[in-house]
Amino acid sequence: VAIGEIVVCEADVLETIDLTLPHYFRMLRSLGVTKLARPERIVVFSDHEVPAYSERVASLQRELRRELKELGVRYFYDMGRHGISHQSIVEHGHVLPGMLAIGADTHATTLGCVGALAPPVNYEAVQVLATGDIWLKVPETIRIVVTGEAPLGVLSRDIAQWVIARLGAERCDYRVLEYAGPAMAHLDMDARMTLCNVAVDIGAKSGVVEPDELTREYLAPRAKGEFDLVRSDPDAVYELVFSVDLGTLEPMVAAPPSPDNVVPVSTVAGIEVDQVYIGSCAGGRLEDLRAAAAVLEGRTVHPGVRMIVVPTSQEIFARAAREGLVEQFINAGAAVTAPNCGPCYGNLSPLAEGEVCVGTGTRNEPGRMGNAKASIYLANAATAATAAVLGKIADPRELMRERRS
Amino acid sequence: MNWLWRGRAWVFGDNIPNDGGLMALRFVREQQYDPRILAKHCFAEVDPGFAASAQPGDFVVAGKNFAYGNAHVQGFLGLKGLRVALLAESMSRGPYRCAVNAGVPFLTPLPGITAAVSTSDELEVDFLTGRVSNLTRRTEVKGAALPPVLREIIGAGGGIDHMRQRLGLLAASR
Repeated sequence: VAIGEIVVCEADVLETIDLTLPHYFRMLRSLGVTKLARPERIVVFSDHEVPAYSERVASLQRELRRELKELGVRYFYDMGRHGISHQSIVEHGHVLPGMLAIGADTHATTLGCVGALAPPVNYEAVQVLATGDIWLKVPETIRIVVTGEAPLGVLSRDIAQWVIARLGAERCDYRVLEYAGPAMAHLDMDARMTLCNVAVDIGAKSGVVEPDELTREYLAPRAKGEFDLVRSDPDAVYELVFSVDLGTLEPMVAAPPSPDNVVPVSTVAGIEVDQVYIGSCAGGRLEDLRAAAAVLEGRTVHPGVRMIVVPTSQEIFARAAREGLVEQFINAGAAVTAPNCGPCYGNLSPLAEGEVCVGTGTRNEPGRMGNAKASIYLANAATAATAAVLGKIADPRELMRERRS
Repeated sequence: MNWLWRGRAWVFGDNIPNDGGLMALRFVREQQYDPRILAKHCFAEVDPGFAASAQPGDFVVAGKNFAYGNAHVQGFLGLKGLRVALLAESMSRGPYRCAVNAGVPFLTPLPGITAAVSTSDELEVDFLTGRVSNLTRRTEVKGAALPPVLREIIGAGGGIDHMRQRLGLLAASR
């Protein structure tokens, strides 16, 4: 195949979610489709509306459980065994190197963390359910070579935001961002998920991390099938090779109105904050929870601020509890809830008119987290936790240094 | 399907978001997929008069990075409900797929289209060749034609209708 060509491909795995799947099934039923092409390749997560917050949602979920049984879909991660789909599907070993993983939700690019190609679709999942395949345009690839070591206060979210801001939307549109280079050996699967997750916010088709020994070790106890570490050919042609020295980075903030409006934290320092949010498929992983808890330790949430922490998956929630992070959040005055997509979607802890939120959510368009006249600043978890303590945006490194000394 | 369209232009600026620009996010929360209902709410927050005034066959002429953000299909189903086509300076992958899937005929990229067209200009657009003729100004802009595979999907009425055709064909060949 050639770059730019349109090809029809069979999906190796299809990731779907509670919010939309009942409606997709209704659509298929109304068309007379009673059989799915490959039910064994479909993986379903409760994440957008869990726990159910209304009777309407509860009855949709009842319908979903019945449909899944009837259609022979056996991989369903229901409440209590769930997590945000893009995290949990990897934790449960459904996505393997070299796979074509189609995700029926925007941030499915996350699945590229193990070396899969993971283009997100939304409503088109209806066709993938019924036919098992999808049209794709053969993309160009940008190789991002990561070197150096991240300094204090810099998390994988900063690397991701910095890269998309430097590359820019026009450069990234429809392209695959492939992460490689010597520093990747020190970036764990959580960090890799964040890098691939944020890639979609610049219009990339997928983020991919070149699989390595770390990938093998992570997947070995989890994989639902056999796998090889499929990598790009040594003579692969790239549209661009782009180098990032982590040593040159600093904590970044994406200011309204879009995720690529990225500035150093000092630029927006002093802005007063109403809500702090640690969570989402872009920022509620162990790395994020640890960084936030480290800032909060021995400190409390500012009286003018409400703070909500939403671990990305049950696995992460359990680890956070084991490490004592959950207790630290509670002692500091933060609310901790079960994994879900709610705040990014505006249906959990929404913002009122004029309010300001600093958080690790996915996007910051007006209206994304409730009222269209609220402001959303995307930041790493340490910056968000610092804002929770001080009541305003500030460079997290000061509090982190105090902690060290 | 007829691929030569004639109609009036409705020009919008650069960077109109999908959620809250083309369509309010509440229709995503409500999981509304009916093109007839969504049609009434296209661009409600940008140009409240548009949905009531646009005629079938008209063109939405959009600027750079049209409908950016999460690739929710509702706005594009709304355009389909209005039976209008789309001419965009540029559009990223998410909205590009949404336009195909909703069955909205479109041309993109079309650099310079918003400068070459004013609202209510009469346009003639050939989707097979990518030619946009401004009949009011007697000027022409040439863009890339729709790839045949995608034209087939749009011609069928969108991704769902195309799937129905395919499933019908598959069943017949067995």
